[in-house]
Formats: sequence, structure tokens, C-alpha cells
Amino acid sequence: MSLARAGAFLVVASARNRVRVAVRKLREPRYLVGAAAMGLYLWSLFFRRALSQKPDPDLLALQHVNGVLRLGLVVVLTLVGAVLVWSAWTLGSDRLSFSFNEAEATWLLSGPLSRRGIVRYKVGVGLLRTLFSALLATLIFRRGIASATVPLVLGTWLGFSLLWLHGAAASLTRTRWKQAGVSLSRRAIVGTVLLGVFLLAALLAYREASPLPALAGATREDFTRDLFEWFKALGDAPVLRWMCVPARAFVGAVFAKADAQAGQPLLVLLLLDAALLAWVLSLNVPLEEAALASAERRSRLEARRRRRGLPLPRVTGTLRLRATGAPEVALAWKNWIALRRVYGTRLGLIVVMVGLGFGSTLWGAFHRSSPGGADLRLLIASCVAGVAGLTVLLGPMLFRTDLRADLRRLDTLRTLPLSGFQVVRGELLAPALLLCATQVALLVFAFGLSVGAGGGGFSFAARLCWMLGALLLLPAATTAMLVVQNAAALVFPSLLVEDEESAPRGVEAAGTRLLNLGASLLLLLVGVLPGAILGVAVGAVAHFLGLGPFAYTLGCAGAAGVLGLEVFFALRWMGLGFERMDPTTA
Amino acid sequence: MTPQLEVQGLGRSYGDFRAVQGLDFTVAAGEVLGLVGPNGAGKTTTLRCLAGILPPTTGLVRIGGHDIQRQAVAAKRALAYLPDEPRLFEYLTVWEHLNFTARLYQVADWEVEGRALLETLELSGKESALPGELSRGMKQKLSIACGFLHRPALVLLDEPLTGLDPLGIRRMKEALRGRAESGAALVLSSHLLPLVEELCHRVLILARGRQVACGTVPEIRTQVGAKGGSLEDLFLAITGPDGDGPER
Repeated sequence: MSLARAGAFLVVASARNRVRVAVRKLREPRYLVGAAAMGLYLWSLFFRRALSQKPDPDLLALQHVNGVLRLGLVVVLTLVGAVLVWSAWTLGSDRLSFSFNEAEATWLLSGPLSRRGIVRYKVGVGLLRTLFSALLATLIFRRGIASATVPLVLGTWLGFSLLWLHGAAASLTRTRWKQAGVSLSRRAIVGTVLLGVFLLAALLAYREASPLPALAGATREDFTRDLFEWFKALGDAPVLRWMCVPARAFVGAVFAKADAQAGQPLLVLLLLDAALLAWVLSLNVPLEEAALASAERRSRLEARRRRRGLPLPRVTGTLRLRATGAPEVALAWKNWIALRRVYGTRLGLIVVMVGLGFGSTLWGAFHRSSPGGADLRLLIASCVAGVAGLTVLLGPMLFRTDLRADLRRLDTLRTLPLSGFQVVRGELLAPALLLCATQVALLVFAFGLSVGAGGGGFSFAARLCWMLGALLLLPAATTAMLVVQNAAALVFPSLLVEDEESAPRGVEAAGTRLLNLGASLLLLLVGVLPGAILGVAVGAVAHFLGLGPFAYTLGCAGAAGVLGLEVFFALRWMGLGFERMDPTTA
Repeated sequence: MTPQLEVQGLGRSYGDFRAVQGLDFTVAAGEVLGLVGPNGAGKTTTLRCLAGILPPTTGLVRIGGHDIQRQAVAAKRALAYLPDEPRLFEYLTVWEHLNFTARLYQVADWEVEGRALLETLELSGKESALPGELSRGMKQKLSIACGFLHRPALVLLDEPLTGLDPLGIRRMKEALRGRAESGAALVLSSHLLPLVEELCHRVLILARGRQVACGTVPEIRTQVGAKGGSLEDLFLAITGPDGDGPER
């Protein structure tokens, strides 16, 4: 089997098997529902418009616009292209633009293949990927452009390929220079020369073009027309004309009204691509070392992706745990350490913000005489209270160091000498305490600010009652949200458990996460409802009895009590669920 | 004497597929039982059922007299399960792993025991390291240190020597012998038959999820009617070249 056929076999078989696995997964109802949800979401967001035959009044058909837009596009694309060319030769480290995974590095480098053969394979895969990107981009933006479809797809693909091939040529050349011992300063000279050529061409064109139109004394229409003429003259200047060729060809192909109009631009793009392709394939670069480095880098990035983009934490000091006492506290202690190490920066920011808040509150207390300052403090107090309220929803989504992170170690959790209820309780304790403490701090801070501000139509007693009510209600609601999120992970572990090496990806998994978010909010609303009814009833009775603003506090206390009971029973239920959970079906 | 581990009619199915069926055996205190079998014979499933990770479809597992299903917490207090792939918490250091284990199992003197274990397993000086900074062998050693910290009455080991260097293997063998001599019951699964023969008092051979032989090596020789040969010879004779094993 030739290399080309072996490469094609690898690509086709991998793609086919990926599709096969995805289809097989859809036999499970949860994946099917997830895929349907995500499909509907994508359809409504992108494809509904793209595939519709009706004209879309919101979108702009560019070929109906006068030449200013086209000329502008050509200039902008040329500038972007110039920056990309310059950066490909100058910026970043000397590494391959196409990446190798570990399997490719092992099989291709140890296989009976020439370096050129390996480059040919990678170029083939790269061009296939650009075709896929071009198809997707065309599908999404087709109606906004309203050009002939075939030139649009081909023009986009050839345009994307031009950039990709240039990047490959630059990276291969830089890799060869590096291995040949060409010094960094000499390589920097190339970049500087390129930049100099661009600038010189622009300067010459500027000198050749007519003077820049004057704004003074001209009407807007005259100035726009003169400016367009000036741009046109600039673009037509012989010294710049050749630099704009790729951008002109791309715009000509992509915005062609009919297939016939696209012939010449497509031919130009094809010739440019062919020239770059020939250049890339002619380069005989010792790429083994760079390929291995690329595979290691990709593996590191993959590991980092599994940690949700977080680097390995720095260990600074430790928090000692007493060896005796409630054993489930060990799980809370472990999660607290993880929270510190995973979200250390975010926690630090919260502490700084709260610290600044308390500081400004104290400052405000000593400067009550300023009415403008009082208004500002009241505004800040409202914002801080709002942030405390938002923590109910955002907090449990942000800090996920609980059962959601640990269910991937279900085997380990199952061997611990703890009941299911203890495991669930221990797992949720640390994030619940952190979020509740943050809310308490924010609410106290907001209250302190509002006291310093005075006025606002509410008495001190009313504000105190509001704060006390919120102090009872918000932590209860946050804990309920945490419980809902963790219960969802317990019910759908294979979809919602974090950081798993074999974590499900793709449309069906993304759709299930979308559904999870919706279902969590719905469940929270349903869970809050009995508490809200009781809270309103208690508050109304207290108000009727003449307790004034304290009626609000009592109402919140009633609602928080119901939520607390719900959380307790939900934890019991989750504990039983955890004990019955079968790791092989999770 | 009450056996530390008692297994009666243990079976585990995945849908229609019976991974393990009809296992009956006991392991006494101070005894080492080797669990061997071809790939896919059901060794890991058996160990996971014994550890309380997988609920058995049929049968009963008692650890120190406690039913692993009905008295799970009491049974698990007496147990340590060391899987073939060490599963550690990525944000806890080596020393914090020991502290965590100590609290779970209420080991008051854990620091002395922990230091001794780290010394034995050559992890001294790595107390502040995160699992991500350890080699695979070191992770395995940390997993073993955590498993031994609470002096379990029953230790379940799945391929315990994977990833260890020659010195680590020697120390591990000594540690396992030491645990058995101090009264712990051990069940270890391994493909390294000479190791099993060297360490284990009795051997249980699994094939296609069934128990095809159980006893000391001489007893198994008698069971299969062989006059001599190593455990490897007996294993191949029993399970056959295809690893199918004779039907019982």
C-alpha cells in the first residue's frame, strides 16, 4: 500500500469509526435526547437561516453594495494577510505549524516513511481540514453573502488553504533554520526585511496616489466619494497592485454573482496555492525532533484541557486534619484543599474585593457628610447585594470541586468506609461553606455600605430585616442549587462528570449539558416553590400582625426552613442513589 | 477460626453476560490467596465485588464477619483495595493523602506509621509532591502506603507489582509477607505466576468467570492429575492454550 493510500485509509477509517461510535451512542436515550437538544440549538442558531430559501431582510447581500465595501475588504484582507505573513516568519517559537498526536509521532516516525512522505501526509490532512472549515463557514454565512455556491465554497477553501500552506512553509523553513544553527538575530532580519518591504510598498503607493482628500470645507458625500477614489488609486498603484492579488482573487471568487464570473479569481487562487504547495513539498526538513515536541505539547495541552485549562497548582503549605472525628470531614477537607489549589486566584480576588469593600465601608462611615458619596455607596451596596444573589446561580457552576469532580473516582469512593449519605454530605460541605461564607460577607458588606449611605427611602430597621432575611434565604438557595447540580451528575455520571480522560465529547454531550443547565434551573424553581409559598404566607401573617419589616425576615426564615428540609431529604436520596450506583453502567 | 474473607456463590452479570459465577472460597487471617486466570476470566470483577465497588448479582461476601452489602461501612473499615491503576486525588500531596486516609479510618498514630511506610516504599522526601509530579511506580507506592496505613485485616491487590522497579518489587514482596505474618489476609491477582507461586499459600484459578481450581499448588496438581510441574504448567494445562478452561 502506498503512503497516500495508507494515509487516506487512516483518515477515512478514523472518521468512519468516529461516526460509528457517535451513532452507536445515540442508541442510549440520554445521548439521543442530548443530541436532539443540541441539534435544535445549532439549527436555530446557525443552520435555520443558512438552509432557508427565503431572503433574509436582516442580512446584507454584499454584491449589491457599491465598490467601497469590496475595496475596503481587499485592503483589510491584504493588511491582515501582511500581518499574518510577517508574524509567521517572525513571531513565536520555531515549531511546526501542523501538530502531531502521540500515535502519529510513534507510527509515522518509526515507520518506513521519508520525511517528505510524512509532510505530504500532514499537508493532505491539513488541506482536508481547511475544506471542512470552508464548508462549515459557507454553511453558516451563505445567506449573508448570497453568492454563487460553488465559487463561494471553492474560493473560501482556496483562501483558507493559502494561509495554511504559507504557515506550513514558514514553520518548516524556520525549523530547518533552527536545526541548521541559523541565529535568532539572522532570522529576525528576515522578518524585519518583510516588514520593510510592506512599509516601503505602502509608502511608494501613497506617494503615487493623489493627495489624501481634505475634510475641511467638503460635504460628507463629497468626502466619502473622494476617499473612495483615493483608496482606489492607492490600491491600483503598481507597487501595491501585486500585493493585493490574493485578496482581490479571494473577494472576486467569494462574491461572484455567477459561476462564470469566478473563473479567473479561482484560477489565480489555485495557482498561488499550487506554488505554495510545491514549495512546502520541496522542503526536506529534519522534522523528527519537532514532531516529538509537537506530540508532547499536544499531550500536555490535552491534560490541561482535562483540568479545564488550569495549570498544575503550586503547593504552598498544608492544612493539617485531625485523625479522629467525623470521617466524612476528610472529604470536605480534601475538597477545600482542591478549591484552594484549583481556584486559588479566583478566591484571592474575592477576598481582595470583599476586603476593599469593607475598607471602603469603614471609610464611608467616617465621611458621611458627602451626599454624592452617600448615593454612590447606596449604588455599590445594591450591586454587591445583587452579586450575592447571583452567587446562587453562578457559584455552584463556578466551583465544581465536589461530587461532580470525584465521581470519576467512583471505585475509590466506593471502597471508603462511609455510607452514601456521608459521602454526599462530605463532598458538598466545602463548596457549600465557601459559597455561603462569601454570600454572608457580601451581604454584611452591602448592609454596612447602605448604613453609611443613609436615605434611600428605607429605615435602618428595614434594611437590617432585609439583610437578615437574605442571610437566611440565599445560603439555603445556594446549597439547594449545589444539591441539584450534584444530583444531576449522580443521575447522568457519564455525561456530566468532570475531567474524565474519556469524557464524552460531541454534539450529544454538549446537548446534555445544555439540558442539564435548563433542568437544574427548572428543578431549583420547583424546589423553591413550596418554600416561597410558605415564606409568603408567613410574611403575610406577620405583616398582618403588625411586625413591620420583620415580617420579611420571618418570611425568608420560613422559606429557608423549607429549603433546608428539602436539601436534607435530597441528600438522603442522593446517598441511597450513590450506594446503588453501578460503576459499570455509570 | 472465623475467616477474614468468606465468599459464597458469588456471581456478577453485565446484562446477559455472566462475568463471574458460582465462586466459593474463604481466606483466613495470615493467608495469601492468589487469583489467577487468562485475560477476561473475571479476576478484576471478582476483586471489585469483594471490595464493595460492584454489587454482586448473586451470592454473599463477608469481610471479618460483616456482609459487604448490608454492613458495608463496617466491612470496608477492615479492607484495603489496591487497584492495578493507582487512583489518587490530583490536588492532594503525598502527605495529605496519608492524612486524608488517617481521618477516614480514624488512625490516631498515623504520622509515625506514615513516615515508616514512606521510608519502606522509598517515598521519603516526596511528602509535598502532587500525584502529577510522581512517576507511575511512585503513584503505585503511594496507593500502597495509603492502603496499609490503617492496618487492614483484608488487603485486595490487583496486579500489585505493575510499574515497580526491581527494588520496589522486592520491597513490595517483603511488605506483603510482613502483612500476612502480622495477621492480615491477602488476595492478590496477577499474571506473574512465579510471583503467585512464591507468595501465595493457596491459588484460585478462574476461567470464563468460573472457579476451575482452588487450593495449594500440590492440591491443584492432584485435582488435575498432574505428577509435577510449576504453577505455570498447571495453569496452562487447566485453562488450555485458548484460555477457555474446562467446563465444570
